[in-house]
Amino acid sequence: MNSAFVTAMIAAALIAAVPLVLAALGEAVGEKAGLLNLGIEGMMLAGAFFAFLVAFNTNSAWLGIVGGIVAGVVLGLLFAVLTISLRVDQVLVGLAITIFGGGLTAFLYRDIFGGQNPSLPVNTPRLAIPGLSQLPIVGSSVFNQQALFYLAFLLVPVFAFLLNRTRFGLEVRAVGENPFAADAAGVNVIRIRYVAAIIAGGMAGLAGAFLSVSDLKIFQVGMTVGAGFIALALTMVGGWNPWRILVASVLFGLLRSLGNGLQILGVDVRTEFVTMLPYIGIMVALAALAGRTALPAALGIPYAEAAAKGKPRETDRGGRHGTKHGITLGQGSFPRLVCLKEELACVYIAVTWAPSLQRCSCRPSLVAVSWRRTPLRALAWMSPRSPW
Amino acid sequence: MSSKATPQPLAQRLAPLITSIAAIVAALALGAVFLLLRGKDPVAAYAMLFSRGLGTSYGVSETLIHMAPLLIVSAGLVISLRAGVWNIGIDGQLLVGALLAGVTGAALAGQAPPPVLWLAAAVAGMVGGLLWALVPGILRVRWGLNEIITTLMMNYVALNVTSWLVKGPVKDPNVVPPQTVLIPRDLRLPGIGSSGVHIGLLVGLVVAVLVWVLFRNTVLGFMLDVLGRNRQAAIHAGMPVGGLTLIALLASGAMAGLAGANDILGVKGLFQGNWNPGYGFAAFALVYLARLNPLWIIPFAYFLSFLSIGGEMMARPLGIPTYFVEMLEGLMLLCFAVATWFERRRSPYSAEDEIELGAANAGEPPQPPITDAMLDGVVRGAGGRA
Repeated sequence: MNSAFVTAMIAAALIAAVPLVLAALGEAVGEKAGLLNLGIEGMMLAGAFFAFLVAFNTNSAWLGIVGGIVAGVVLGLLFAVLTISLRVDQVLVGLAITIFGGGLTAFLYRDIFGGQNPSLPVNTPRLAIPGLSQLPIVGSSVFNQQALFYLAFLLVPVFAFLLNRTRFGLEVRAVGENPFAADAAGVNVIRIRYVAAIIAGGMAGLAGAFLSVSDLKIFQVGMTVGAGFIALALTMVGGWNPWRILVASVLFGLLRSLGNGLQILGVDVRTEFVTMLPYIGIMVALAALAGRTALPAALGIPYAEAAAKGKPRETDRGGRHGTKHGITLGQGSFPRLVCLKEELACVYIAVTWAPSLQRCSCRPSLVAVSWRRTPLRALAWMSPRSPW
Repeated sequence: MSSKATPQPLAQRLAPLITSIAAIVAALALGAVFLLLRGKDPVAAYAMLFSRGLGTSYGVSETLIHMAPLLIVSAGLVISLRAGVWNIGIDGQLLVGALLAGVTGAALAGQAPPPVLWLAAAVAGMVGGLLWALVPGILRVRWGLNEIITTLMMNYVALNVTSWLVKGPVKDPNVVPPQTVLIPRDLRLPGIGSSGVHIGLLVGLVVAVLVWVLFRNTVLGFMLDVLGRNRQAAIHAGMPVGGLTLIALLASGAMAGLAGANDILGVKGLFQGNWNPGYGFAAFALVYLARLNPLWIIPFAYFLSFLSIGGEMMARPLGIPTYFVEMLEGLMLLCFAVATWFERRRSPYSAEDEIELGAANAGEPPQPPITDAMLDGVVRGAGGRA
């Protein structure tokens, strides 16, 4: 094992970590604000493609990077409008954006460039840090890299500061933990979530732009191959802490470059085993950390201003819906089985439940099914441990 | 007292479908805008898409062949999504199931009569998909790990594991490319009549109906439904929530494996190293468009597979990349998201109900809307008390 090999390994690991760090930092802000964004994969692809397109047409790598960020921001904004304003389910919208991003970039790339796979004539400048780049081993691997490479690592303390030391960070965390309390304290929940979603999108776009413009200088259909999803997992492994996200990403990068390294060394391991190591590593890390990292309490939960704007809440759940439908649905604090309709062969069962004993104001969650057999069976399995 | 003495169950039951159809129309319109921006003629494109995909016997039979695995995968996805479990690892489960089915089928070729071979391969496929879903299932139930992440990660593990297996232990030693031993054509699934469509399609239809029966007529289906609509209610009612979650994941995994077996036994005859059909995303789009209804997935599966077949057929003559269809799928889901918002605005439930329900079901798939038809059942039953 010589020093050139170690140098190459370290460089490969760090370069593999860069897009993951960038995307995961953005995702951490989004998740801290309560937004679970499965669309990063699509946003990264959009960032990669539009960065490539702009850089290719303008001959400017930096304009390309900006183009990538803008593409990510646009999709982030789309995510924000759908999940925050229209309150559609976040996972559904995220998947939709991932599918759309993949399809759109592939369609445009093939349509614009035909069968060709051109590579960029320009690149972001390679910066050799004076002095440090002369060091053995780490010199050429760590301190002689693309400009965006340093940016990714510089952004880690910036995000750590932003999340933990600024008013904005406090508001983001408050919104993600309890949007109602945050709103009561005067935080504009909707605005904070929009900003967080845009940051997440922009960072994903930047990560994609790094891939296509800085790192590979080409675009390929589906070139992120799941990097967005991996960034999502790394965000959770890193517990939404930028420093831990950095460590997790670099470890992931190391595990990934291990495969090539072992092959070069002539160790007889199946590549497939080494390639899947990082993914298994993520699952093991998540299992090991299970219970020790607390998810932002409001992650995935939409927030509606109307509820917090002093609109009187119904204290009796028999209230509105009861009136509307002419019956009183479960007026007690306990879940109860309401009303069975037995008509010919069909029975509708409604299960109601109050989310908290103090405040029985929610819409009874209603389950209606038709029941061919006897409804007594339904009662039988529900009764033993149920308190009504 | 309800003012509607005679509700119109059929019209109300179809109401959620209108949302989906509106979403599809909007997506096609947006797709046309993209085509216009790229200087293509959208009218010609859609005309060719529909005429070749729906109007030619080749297009129809290809669509039906493509539809079979999509239908099976979607039926499984309905189970997990209705139970409130996100199974995003369908592609991985399908690959593992397909590989096991391919190996089993090839091993039994010539040893057993064809029906036994098909059955064994199908069971092997289901076991493969089930095993692949078991890991996220256990992680979810035992350690509370979010199944979204773990099923996604298992996709990549599946890609590598199958690629290793097909290059090494189960590789056909007589050929160079990494693939399993070919199942002879006469031992594969027979066609329906004289058409090129194999009987896997019937399996898909049967599976969809079975899932429909599961949710309509069985206690298990009812419990899964309760779990998906309100997890807290399920816990309170004393349902075995962990077991149900596991069942939902395993069932959809097994279905994915069965779909893989279907493709191997019906079309391909062998498992190739770099084969990854990626039905997962299309299945997601269609299951949501079908509003998680196991019977409605049948027409939507036909529609989506027609889109991808038609997209391939129009690609060459018009110079529109096949990825156009993938983009359309994404647009459909996005439009569907907007359409559900319109739908909710018309529903009698206000934002605060939604939040409370959202808080109870955080991170779980959205369920189809509660229609007045459902409520009327409750109302009429309670009429005496009101």
